Amino acid sequence: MGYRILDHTADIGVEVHGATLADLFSQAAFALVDLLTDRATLTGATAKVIRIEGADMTDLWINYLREILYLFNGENFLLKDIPEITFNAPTNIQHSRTPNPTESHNILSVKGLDINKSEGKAAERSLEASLLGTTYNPRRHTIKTEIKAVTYHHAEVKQTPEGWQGIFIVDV
Amino acid sequence: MLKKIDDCRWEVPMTGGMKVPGVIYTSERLLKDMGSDESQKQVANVAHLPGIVKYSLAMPDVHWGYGFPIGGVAAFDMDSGIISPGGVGYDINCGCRLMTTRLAYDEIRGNIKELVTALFQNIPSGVGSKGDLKLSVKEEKKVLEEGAGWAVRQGFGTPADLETTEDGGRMEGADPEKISDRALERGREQLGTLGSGNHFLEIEVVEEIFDPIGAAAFGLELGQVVVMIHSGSRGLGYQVCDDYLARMVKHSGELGFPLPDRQLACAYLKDSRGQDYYAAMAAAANYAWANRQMLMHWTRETFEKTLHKGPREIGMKLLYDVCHNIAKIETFPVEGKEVQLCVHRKGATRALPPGHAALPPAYLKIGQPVLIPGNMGTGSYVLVGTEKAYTDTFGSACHGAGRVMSRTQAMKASKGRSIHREMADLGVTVMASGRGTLSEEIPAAYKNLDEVVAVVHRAGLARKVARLRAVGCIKG
Repeated sequence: MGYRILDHTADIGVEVHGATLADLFSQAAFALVDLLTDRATLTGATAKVIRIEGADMTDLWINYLREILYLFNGENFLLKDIPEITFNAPTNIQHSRTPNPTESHNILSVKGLDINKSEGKAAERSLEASLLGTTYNPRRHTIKTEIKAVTYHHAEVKQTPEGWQGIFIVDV
Repeated sequence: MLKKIDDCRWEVPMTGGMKVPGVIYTSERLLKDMGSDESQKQVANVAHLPGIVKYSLAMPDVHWGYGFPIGGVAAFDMDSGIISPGGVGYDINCGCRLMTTRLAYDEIRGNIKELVTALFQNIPSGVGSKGDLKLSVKEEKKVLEEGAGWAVRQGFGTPADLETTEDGGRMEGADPEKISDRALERGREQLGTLGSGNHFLEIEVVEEIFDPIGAAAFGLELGQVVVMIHSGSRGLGYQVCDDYLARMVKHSGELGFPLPDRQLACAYLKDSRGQDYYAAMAAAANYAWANRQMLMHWTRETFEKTLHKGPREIGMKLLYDVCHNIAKIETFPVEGKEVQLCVHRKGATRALPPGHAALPPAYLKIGQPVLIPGNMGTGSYVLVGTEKAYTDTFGSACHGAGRVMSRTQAMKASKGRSIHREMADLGVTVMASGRGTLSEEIPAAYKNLDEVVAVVHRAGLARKVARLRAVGCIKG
């Protein structure tokens, strides 16, 4: 599972594939960092935890990627790895939910994810991810592309027979 | 799906939920370039938005953006209309300024390399480039309120510079309190930096004059050295757009109509969300004007130092500064009446006719200078605004050449080539800080600037005054 770059006149589109939703979200963040810099040159010395919400899965997807980009643009944090992503059930029923069995994929795990839940408007999505990365150092890390933003344009997250697929377009 | 109106205009007929038709200013030749480009669909999508007046417009440099097409112009009714961060773009008040000098190219031909090197050293450029000063938040808020005037007050330039800046370099209604802490933080270290991508600072020479009267009014003459700066509001502007888009997407259910594309997320002009965005956008626009004012100041200093000449001998004067990513409250004729509208220009330049009240006294008789930067190596154009743009396109013209190749295509096309060398062969000395920038910005990646400008000229939206040829360029 991984990603490929889609052609878009002004910007860069990315199509991401993942065996699980957590895999998809991790791969997407890695794709974003790969566009910025050579991820192989990064270390995972600094830990961070982010919590993201969205009105639906697509909104969560973009809000999450916006945050990964902000961590670089605003806090000089370059992501190396995501040891864990936890998806929470819609927040409006969060207090009454019982934890679902954990689904594992490599070092990633998905907790409490109800993938059969439709993208209802009232049902807010949220996730928590622990990140490992490093502080950007202009002498050690080359920035390939300045990414202005992750856009909502053509954004999508869907389940496929192989797992999950997501698309996002960045403004460069 | 397109219907030809005349040699310069094609209509996107009203279908489905479109409230007005679309009109694309283009030519047979440029239409071929448009090919499978999604921009026509985007022109139609914009026509779905509430309160849109007359038509959803696209300039000849139109290309596929996100939500609104790049090169799009749309005006909205103040009562029933909307304002959309995606209709302005991430780089709020991205724009350009052109400075004239008293120097003839023949005089300094031998100094271009030295000048480019010195400019590259003195003007911070590149990805996330940081300036020499780190502002306190308190001072940054003054920049956001005062715009280019703040920079002049700090000694970056003179009050005369403000006269030939659109809106005097300060947009009314700016409120720094509507800007997030994240945007403020990103803006603190980036004031006075060029940025990367298609942003540039270029030394150009007046190569051809089409309109001697216009050229004289603008102080342009053949063989003269001029400088074009193309930059915007940097990370602060991107963050403002990002913040407000997310906020508007979150509340898009309250708009009362389905969005054809989330990136078109918007708010009614009368609602607090719309007003908050306007106030934040205006503040970001002011930041961009202060930014370009500082870049110009350092350019002046660099010319003086490098050429060992005084400010009077160099005579670097601001011809004009225009923004091409903005939403503004302006008055235009609709059905015979002058009506206040919210005009979105996303990759379109304001083009005001002679006699317009917003013009500086020096240009009142001739009309507004319309600056059209080309891509690396092709130079730029200076045009002048007309009555036709005032009545037909909400006082707007094109903003550049417009991409035809994606950045990946451009990278592939330039593989194995020395773009530096090719530029040098074209007579342009280029320095860039980004590894990929030159390859992504190769001339073939853009539409033919001459053709784009020819359409604008033929359609009567702006009249050609002069063509400028690039001789030196720094890029991020």
